[in-house]
Amino acid sequence: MRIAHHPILGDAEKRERITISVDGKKIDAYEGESIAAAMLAAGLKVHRRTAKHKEPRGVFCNIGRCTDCIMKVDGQPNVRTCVTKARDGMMVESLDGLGTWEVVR
Amino acid sequence: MGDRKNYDVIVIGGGMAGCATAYYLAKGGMDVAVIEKRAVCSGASGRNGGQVIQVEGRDELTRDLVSKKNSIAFHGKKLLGTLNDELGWDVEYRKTGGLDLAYSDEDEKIIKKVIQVQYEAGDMGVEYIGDAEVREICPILDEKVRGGKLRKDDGNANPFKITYGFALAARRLGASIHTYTAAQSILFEKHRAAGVRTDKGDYFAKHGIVNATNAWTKFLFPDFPIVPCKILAFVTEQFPIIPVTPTESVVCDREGDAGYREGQNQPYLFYGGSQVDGNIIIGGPPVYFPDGMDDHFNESITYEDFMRFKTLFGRYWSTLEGVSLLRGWGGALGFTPDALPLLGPTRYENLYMNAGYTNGMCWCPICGKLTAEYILNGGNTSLPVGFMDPERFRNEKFEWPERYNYTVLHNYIAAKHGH
Repeated sequence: MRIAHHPILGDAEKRERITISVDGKKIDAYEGESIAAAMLAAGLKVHRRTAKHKEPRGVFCNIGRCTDCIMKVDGQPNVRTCVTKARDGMMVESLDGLGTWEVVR
Repeated sequence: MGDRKNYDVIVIGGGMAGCATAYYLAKGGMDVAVIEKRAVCSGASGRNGGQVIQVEGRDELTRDLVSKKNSIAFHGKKLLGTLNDELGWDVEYRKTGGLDLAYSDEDEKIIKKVIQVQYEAGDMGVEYIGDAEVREICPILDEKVRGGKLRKDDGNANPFKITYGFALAARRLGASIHTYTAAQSILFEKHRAAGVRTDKGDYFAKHGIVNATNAWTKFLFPDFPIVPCKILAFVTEQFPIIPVTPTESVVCDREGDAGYREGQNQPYLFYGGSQVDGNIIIGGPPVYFPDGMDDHFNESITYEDFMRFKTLFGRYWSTLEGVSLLRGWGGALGFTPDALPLLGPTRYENLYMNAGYTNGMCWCPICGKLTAEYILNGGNTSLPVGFMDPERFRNEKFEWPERYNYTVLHNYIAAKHGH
């Protein structure tokens, strides 16, 4: 869900629409917004699961401090999605525990 | 336990070597006390990267040194595999495989030569693998890596779990562990070591006093040539486990780096490995200031040290560029003139050495066992320890470099004993 008309902030400014992929699912995003914002708008709240108890984690502090929202972005693990801007064609994957490395090609 | 002063054996030093010695002595029926200046595992035992590396080093390795090292470290590694049952908890020993990486033609040549030396010494556990295979098993590396030496059964262990495991198991067998008790001198009766004077009073031992203070040996026993050498470690945030770890490589600071000093720059060893929780521990020598390296017991780090390792991450393991380093610290290794420990009886009756380690994980548990065997069985040990005789340097005079770091000491040993 996105707020197009805000009673105080006014209308949302027009921005270029891009597409990112989250766990294989294509979602819309706007140029300049964070991965976490795009995911929230698409209704995706679970960014990863914890290593020991497999509990879901998502946006918590939203200012890059708590590292709860980290995901694997274009093969790089531990990326803080709340402070990383979405880019067209970005491949975002949720982390199961610590995740695994991929060979850098 | 506090007020007893008479024991069968006193072990000075509550690190991995000391606690292992105390455990095996207690297991053999001895009434043992450990005297430790600070807390158990507070020196090098609790400050290393946890790497289990059977034969470390490059330039200083000769056929003779490789076979001597293997004669202990090989069995030390086997012993590590049995410690979970022996100590009653998981010491987190994982055989992940270990790499020595080549980043240049020069590296590749040296590593292949080292492998040749190891083969000639009968050590067939290592092989040279090319860049594609290295990057397949260690995916944090990028195309800059040229290849490396792989030993499949090297790995990692948790030094705290090992040291505390030995300490607690020794205590269950009746050993006393006196922490925050600083040994000040050895009390002699003629030529026989009879006791230890500490800041908490005198303690006496009937059957032996064991020095397991490693880098701190020079304060109690200035006649035995062990020099301390400060080395650093840093721990990162949690990452996916790197399948093959530890890795070692020899690197050099470049112009513009925090560690770069015109005219005195030298290559040094950079090491790292994943822990079971996903944190990566990396380390190497502090930034080399010839005038600043006189206190090897200073366990803090500087801003320059921090920046050096930050730079190395981006340069050599570029996948980890921008990694968060959580903490860093220093610790002191104990170097001997031939890179082998001092283990066994000394010129003084009742005084034994178990010190001089630069690579403790494979060595300290087994050497604790061998020291205990020596004392319990009147000089008989399950493995030959004669080559580690603490008196082997008695008639030699050593001119250690006045200012040194890890690299300088390795070069010194290589020049003295290497090719």
